[in-house]
Amino acid sequence: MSQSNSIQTANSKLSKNKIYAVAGLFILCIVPLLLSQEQYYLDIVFQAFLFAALASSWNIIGGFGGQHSFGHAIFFGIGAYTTAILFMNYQISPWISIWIGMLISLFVAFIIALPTFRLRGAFFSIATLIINQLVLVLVLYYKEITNGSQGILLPYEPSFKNMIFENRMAFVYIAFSFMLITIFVSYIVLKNKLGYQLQAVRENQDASRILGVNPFWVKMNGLFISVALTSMGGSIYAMYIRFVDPYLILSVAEIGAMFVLITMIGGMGTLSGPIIGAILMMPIDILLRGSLGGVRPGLNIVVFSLLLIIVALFFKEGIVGTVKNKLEQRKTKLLGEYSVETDKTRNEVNPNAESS
Amino acid sequence: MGQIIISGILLGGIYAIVSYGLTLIFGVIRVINFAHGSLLMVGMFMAYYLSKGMNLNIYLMMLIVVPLMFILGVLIQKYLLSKVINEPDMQLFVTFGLLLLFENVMLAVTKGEFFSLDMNMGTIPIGSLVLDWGRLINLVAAIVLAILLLLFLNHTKIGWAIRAVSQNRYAAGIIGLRVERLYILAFGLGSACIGIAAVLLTPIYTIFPHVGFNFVIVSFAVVILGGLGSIPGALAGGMIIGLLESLSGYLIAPELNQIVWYLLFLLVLFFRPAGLFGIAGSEEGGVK
Repeated sequence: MSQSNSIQTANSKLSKNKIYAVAGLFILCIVPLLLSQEQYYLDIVFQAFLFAALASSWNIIGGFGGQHSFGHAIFFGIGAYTTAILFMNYQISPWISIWIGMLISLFVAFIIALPTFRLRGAFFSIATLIINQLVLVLVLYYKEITNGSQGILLPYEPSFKNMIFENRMAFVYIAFSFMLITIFVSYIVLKNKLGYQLQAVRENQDASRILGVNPFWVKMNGLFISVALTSMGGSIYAMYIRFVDPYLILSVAEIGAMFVLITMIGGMGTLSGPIIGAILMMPIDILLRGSLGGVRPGLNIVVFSLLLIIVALFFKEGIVGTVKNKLEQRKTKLLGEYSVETDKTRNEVNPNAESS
Repeated sequence: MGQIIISGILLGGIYAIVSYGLTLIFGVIRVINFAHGSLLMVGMFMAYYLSKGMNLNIYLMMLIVVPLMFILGVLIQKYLLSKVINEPDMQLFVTFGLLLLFENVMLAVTKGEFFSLDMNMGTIPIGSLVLDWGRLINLVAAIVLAILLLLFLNHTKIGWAIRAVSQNRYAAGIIGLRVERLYILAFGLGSACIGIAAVLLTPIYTIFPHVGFNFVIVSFAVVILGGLGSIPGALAGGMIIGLLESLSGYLIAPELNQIVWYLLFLLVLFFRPAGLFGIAGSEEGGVK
């Protein structure tokens, strides 16, 4: 009796979450239309969508799998450079080169992961950080291909084939679709074997091995999905900004760590966390840059970094985790002991309910 | 060629001295201190402004900068990092937040200007070789500081306690050591070492808010190469990386001078994560 009851609550909770998610995405879909005349705000919306998608991509290996890569700017850069180079030298449409960039990213990810997945925790993070710097040095050195420190400037030739548009709105909806894709992929990963295995590896790699999981390949598959999406984002960004600057694109502080920070602020290892994190943080970041950054350079990041430290100290589970805990607490207060019990059984019956 | 080796060793001295603080902090507390480089930068600005303001020799500033940096380190550990002591992820974010905070506070204060001490200490010619005074003083100081730290860690009770905590903090807690206090002390000491390095580097480098970032990566490499918490390891690691950078810049290409030690560092990380001088398996303590 109580068992079937709890399954029901779990199902109703799940579908409720789905309704919230669809409603939220619908609102996000409408927002750009309301701002259609304001180019500055459309830029903010574009960046928020793009970084929401990129943070979700990072979250697949970083959040679900617990492998905190600080080198994801590499794959962002591969996407951006592949698209830009093929566009400039061979007039290949970005719609095609996106896929080529993804393939190259998969190959590079394999090479990088082969040795680095032997490392755990902090050591993995440091190794990916160093490899990022190594890639930057190589990119600057091979000038014939990458144009070195000058970067690549793309011409303004608007057409659908070139993925360059007169109206910024088109880019906003490309970023929005990209975000939907990453959410969908994350959802599929989370609800399938790979998601459970990634979480098992995150919680305890040695124990997961005993249960028959091969941590190396589980992490590798998670990384493949993550970097393919990240590379896609890099290609879109390159066509939007039309300038591939190695110091920005391959910057740990501005790109690689940004994915990590957004995900953490939103809620690591959750579906909605990276999205909520980016939708809140990117506008704050850009608006602060516009207002405070004009007063004194760096002042905007001072505020941003204080926010980060506060989140790390007081809201360890991010926005999503904190809100969820508060809701659970209130429910427990209202319903007393009974609900505590159902909460427990619910977790046993349907672990998914926790992670949506 | 002789000149290349000399400048490699002098560079090694610089890399060694910036790494002592990190090896104490990373080796003992097992915090990945991203703020390491920005603490160095803060120390350099302190030394610069104090020396300008009081019109005194830069090396005298050590008397003020080092205690100030010690206090700063104690405050960071006591009020920030100790709150997230069992959560490596959160520690990462706190130190990353501090990195952004320090760099950008200084950026806002200085408006992005570059500073350098206009004191030319000159060079000493030895035969056909040329030695830069500032770097030579730094090298001597790096060796002296290594000896002092070793004496402290090996021959005082507090030193023993710090080493015990770095080897196994749970066991150290069981035998009655006050782990949290020792962590605060270790961070303070590490930070004081960064202060010493900062004063020594102020005459050598141009100072700007992002000056620390390159030192972060190099000091992580030095510390892992030499073994976590190992002072002689940090000295040797610094020398190896300094020489490699100098030699590969000369033999391969100036733009690629860092590639060789990046690769060496990665190789060491994969095959001997405990470092060249560390105890095998000691790295696991800080790793999940």
